[in-house]
Amino acid sequence: MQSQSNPAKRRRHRRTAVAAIAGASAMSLLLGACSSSSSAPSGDAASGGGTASEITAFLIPSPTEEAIKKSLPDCEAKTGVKVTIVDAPYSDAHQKMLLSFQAKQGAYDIVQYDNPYLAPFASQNALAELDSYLGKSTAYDIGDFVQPLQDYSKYDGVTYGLNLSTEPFLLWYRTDIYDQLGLKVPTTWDEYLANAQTIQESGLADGQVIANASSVNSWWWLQLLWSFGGDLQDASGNVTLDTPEAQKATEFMKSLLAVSPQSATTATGDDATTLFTTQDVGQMINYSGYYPVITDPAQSKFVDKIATASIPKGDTDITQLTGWNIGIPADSKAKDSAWAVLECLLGKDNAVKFIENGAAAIGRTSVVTDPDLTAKYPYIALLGPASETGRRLPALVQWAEVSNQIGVHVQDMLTGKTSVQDGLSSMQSEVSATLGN
Amino acid sequence: MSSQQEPPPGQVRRYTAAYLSPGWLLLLGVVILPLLLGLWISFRNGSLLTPTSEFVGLENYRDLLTSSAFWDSVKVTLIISILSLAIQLPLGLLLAIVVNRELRGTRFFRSSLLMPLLLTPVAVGLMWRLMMNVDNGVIDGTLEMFGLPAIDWLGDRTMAVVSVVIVDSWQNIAFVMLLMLAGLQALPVSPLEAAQVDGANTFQKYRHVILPLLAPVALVVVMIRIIESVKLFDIIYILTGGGPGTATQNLSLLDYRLGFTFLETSRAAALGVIITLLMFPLYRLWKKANP
Repeated sequence: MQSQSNPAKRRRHRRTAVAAIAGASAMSLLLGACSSSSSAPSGDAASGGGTASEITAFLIPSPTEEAIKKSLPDCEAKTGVKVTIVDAPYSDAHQKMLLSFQAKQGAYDIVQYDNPYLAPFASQNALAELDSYLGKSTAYDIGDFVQPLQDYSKYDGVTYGLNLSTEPFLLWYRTDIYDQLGLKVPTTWDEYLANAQTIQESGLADGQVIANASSVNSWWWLQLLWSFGGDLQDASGNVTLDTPEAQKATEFMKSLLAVSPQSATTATGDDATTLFTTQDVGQMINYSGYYPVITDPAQSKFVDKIATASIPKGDTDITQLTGWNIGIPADSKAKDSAWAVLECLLGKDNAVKFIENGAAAIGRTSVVTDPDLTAKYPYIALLGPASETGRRLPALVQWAEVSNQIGVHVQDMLTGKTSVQDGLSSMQSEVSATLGN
Repeated sequence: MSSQQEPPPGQVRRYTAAYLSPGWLLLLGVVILPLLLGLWISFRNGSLLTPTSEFVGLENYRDLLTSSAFWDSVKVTLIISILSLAIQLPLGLLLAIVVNRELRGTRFFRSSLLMPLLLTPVAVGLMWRLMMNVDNGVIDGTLEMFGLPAIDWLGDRTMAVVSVVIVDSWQNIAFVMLLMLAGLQALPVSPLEAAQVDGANTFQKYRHVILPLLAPVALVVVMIRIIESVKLFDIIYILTGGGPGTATQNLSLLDYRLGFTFLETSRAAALGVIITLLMFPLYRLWKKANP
């Protein structure tokens, strides 16, 4: 009150208040201008895609990026389009893409993204539809893919990307241990567990390894859930995680953990691969994308003693499919040019060369049945059957959060913090709340 | 000198404002506006998963304050902060006392202690992650060599928290030691001499003279270490990733997950505001202790 009676101070307060209000107003206007309205750009490439002599591709560091770089000079010469590559590590890449999409400045003409981001990207019309291009392109030849791979880049029935790699789960096993113990390649999950128990009891090696870290275990757990006849949601979209199938899948995962190296409790996919390639572990379920690591003598101690097979079956025959996608942002001003480059890079004629340039294989039928290629890279032959029974991770906008929720509960159940029944019940409630059920 | 005329006060004020304005503008641009923007975002339902957002008032705050993930993280943050402090403060003081004695080899000892402080937390996390691996880490290997059972440092829920505290303390004890050492070396000599004359033994000197005189320094150390413990991110992210489950997921890691994994920018901003508010009493306490 005393300060209010002082005119000089009052003026100062008034000036401060006016400045604050003016600043806040200016900020609101600025932010209002920055925050995008709901007018999404047309994602339909058929409505005039635009061309340019130079385009920009946003890629994620990976063997596939290196292969693209090697293949680009030929495609640039063929299409007359110069491609500038920018990249960002996986941990930042998708956030950068989303920020760029929301800015709608057409910063990128081609984007490489991981399949779980298809739903967040496509749901906000950030990617161009590619069906019109695919329908006309004989060079790409979409018919060279089995149906699950044609559907891999679709969201709500519309194609928003091309397959940049096909990386299903595979069974990896040690031939020397199998031979020594007279084991057969398992075709069912029960046989897989029995093999793991035999290996563990023999003292030769740990029975098996999968990823159990909460950041990624949902992917392995979902595979088991699908195999045991369960699913994340029913046909109406209701979450169905507190079910007998989920209980069976979780109990099975606990049984697997009991015949794993001790550090498998917190192992990611990379850690599981490191365990399998550097110490004695009899079997592993992991993605085909690890083939270059597992067969690299500099990183793997058992290169000549490792073989691959399709993953075991359960009540259903489903193999989880993962792999990169590549697409064209809806705000690109040169969609036709971007498509021309993609068609050249990933077209049927360039498929073998692309793999030889170091890319992870794309599961084209012509690739997985190529006798020379499959003789050189035996795992490629497995991509065919895996793709036919393939199923990608759920195409949910909130997948990252759902995956984390599943992962935390699965690890709580695996480590005995909660019982399987209680864990599944909590998981059901949390995931339902996230998905708005 | 005396012949020089003093500039009029108005001119001084104008020059002062002109000289200070770049600093103020910089502060406005990189601190104040982002803070206000964060506050503004926290009242909306913005997310990188949806292109539009709208004002939702306190909904993000309500959601967070009623979620078990938030309270679990608060618990983890408190446990890690208290345990870290309980280890770092006495050990740091003890090391400072030893180093202050200037015994033979003190310089080498002091340099060795400072080395962890020079490493980046990511490198520290990676190094300890390898050493603490239960299957092939050097720590469990050593334990087994002496016939002791291996410890699942990172896979056991309790041991994972202990591991985070160990690694954080390993890196930061030297910082506590440095501040305590500076405090010890700046102590006035006369109270110690008076205690000596009065026949106080070493314990009595520490109990009644040195420690009370060191209290303001200790308070600063406590404040800084609590703030650093709440901010602790890199080591946990690399060492345990917040696991197993959410056993080591503190507030900083939860905030990172909300913002950069789930892409829920408004919820992340709201948690940022909550963390700031939680830290505010500490700042007030510090200000009170150091008027």
